[in-house]
Amino acid sequence: MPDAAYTLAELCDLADVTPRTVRYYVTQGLLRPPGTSGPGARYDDGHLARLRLVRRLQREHLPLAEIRARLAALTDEEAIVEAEGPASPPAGTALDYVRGILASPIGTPSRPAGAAWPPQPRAVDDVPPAATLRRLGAAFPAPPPVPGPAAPDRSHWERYALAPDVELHVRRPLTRSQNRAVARLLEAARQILEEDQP
Amino acid sequence: MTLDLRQDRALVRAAARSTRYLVVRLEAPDAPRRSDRLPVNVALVLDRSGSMGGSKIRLAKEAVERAVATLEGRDRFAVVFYDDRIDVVVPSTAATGSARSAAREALRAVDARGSTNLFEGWLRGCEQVALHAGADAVSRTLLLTDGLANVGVTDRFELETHAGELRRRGVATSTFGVGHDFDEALLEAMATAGGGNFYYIETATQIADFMTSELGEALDVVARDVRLEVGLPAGARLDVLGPERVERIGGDAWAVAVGDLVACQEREVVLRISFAYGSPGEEADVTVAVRDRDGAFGDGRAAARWTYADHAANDRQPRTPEVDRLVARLFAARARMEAVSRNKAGDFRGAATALTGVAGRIRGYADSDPELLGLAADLEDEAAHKVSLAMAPAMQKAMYSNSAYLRRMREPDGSARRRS
Repeated sequence: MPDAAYTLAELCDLADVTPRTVRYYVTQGLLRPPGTSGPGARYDDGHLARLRLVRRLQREHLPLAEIRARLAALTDEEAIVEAEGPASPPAGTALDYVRGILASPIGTPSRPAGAAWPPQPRAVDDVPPAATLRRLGAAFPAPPPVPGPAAPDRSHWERYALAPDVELHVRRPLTRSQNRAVARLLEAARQILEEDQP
Repeated sequence: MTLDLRQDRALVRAAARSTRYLVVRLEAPDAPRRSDRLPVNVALVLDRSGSMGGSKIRLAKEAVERAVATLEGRDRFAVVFYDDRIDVVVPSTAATGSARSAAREALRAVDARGSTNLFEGWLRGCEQVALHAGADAVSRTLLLTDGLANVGVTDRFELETHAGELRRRGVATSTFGVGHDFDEALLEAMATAGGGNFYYIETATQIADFMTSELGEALDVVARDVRLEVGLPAGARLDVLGPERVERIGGDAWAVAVGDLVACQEREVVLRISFAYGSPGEEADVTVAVRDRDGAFGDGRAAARWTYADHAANDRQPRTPEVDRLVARLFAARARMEAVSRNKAGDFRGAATALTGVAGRIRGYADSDPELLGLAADLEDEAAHKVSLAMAPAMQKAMYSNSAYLRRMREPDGSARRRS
């Protein structure tokens, strides 16, 4: 059972987040409100585990609604096990794992069995390039996977990183003339970006 | 081998949660006789995209030759070159004399071309290792790149996840970034999740030295999967300041995965413990046991004790300067890595704030300790003059990698720190 009680400051310290983030998650329904409000508010291990899970799922670039749905499906005890419990023993050998990924279409975020919850990514900086990718996500609606099952063509997306914050996404294959155009575009973009270096 | 503990203070607050630090120092045993060492099973995975053209590719090939020459018949190696196409130049083979000369022959045909499918190149290397992965070997993929992954999976989170999953299945990943154009955050994250090492190679002439050094460490592993099992008092919580992975095994028992240690390696792990409330005079014990897959640490155990006391006694208590300094250096390293990432993304103010924030906290407990005050001053200076302007790539890479080495308790050149 979650029993430890934390003040907001203690909770933030343990989860490495700001009080503002905690309040925001509460208003978004990602965290249940503390029993009482104000300075006497107390949070428990369930809150802490959920906070950590939200951070982890955000790093997976999951939309807020999806994160909310996943968290809603967990009891506090389950959330604690997910957030900090030992990883379940891996399913299959390293060879099975590699071959499973290589067999799936490249560019589709592949997540073989047993990898649904990655073993605790240690967030050093949750800022770039994750933030960069999120920003890109806004500019390019769906990140580059092949569209739906109704697309049996063998096209795939390629990303060209032009600068730390700028990428060009190209769906291959292209015609020859398109290829030449893309090559010129890349060249021109690189020149422009280099000139703009402060 | 050695296991000892050093705590930052002796008292914890009775009427509030307290954060305290415990430094666990491990020292791995000497190397066994040469014939008794663990066999290694490695794949060398190298970038041959267009940017590796000219002398770089030649130096990389020479590095492979030199590295492979350090192996013996009971070891295995594979060589993979990748651009947008993946070539398994040498499928996993026992490192006999004839296999090594056949590899030299095969390397001749490799030249630079194409774009960078780091993901599949790396996976093909892991596949070669996995084909022969046994419980008795040190299995590792060494991945070298000089650029950004731009074909196949390029998402850091996904690559990191796969590296972690492969590590759990017995195949580790070490990464090498050459020059100024690779993504240090990606390579560092892959090595951390992959249970291997990360290296920044400033110039291509050093590729062979770094690769041989990493392979030399693989040959020198004496304790695989070193793990601390930590018992905490009721209601306390555990965290670490380094890149190690922490799990709660159950109740008040926690585990910290430290990874492989080489002969005579010295390795500290800094535990951050958040203690629950207690009554004055009550004692709170923390126990640490160390285990590894090869039994090198036997069943080493140690314990540290804190005592609950009122606020006044807590505020007066002496501190252990060595622990404070190590803790401060680790916070500084993390802040510097964040500052570089923010700087790269153009967030100059955020980069500076990351450093000044930690500098301020260090000043808060530095008292008159010259080392702590010096560290705070360095951070403030870097905030004002380095990270708040666009940094040259070489400076970014140096700051990031030095900090990554420090967090892993390695030497300034990235190699394992060993008892002299």
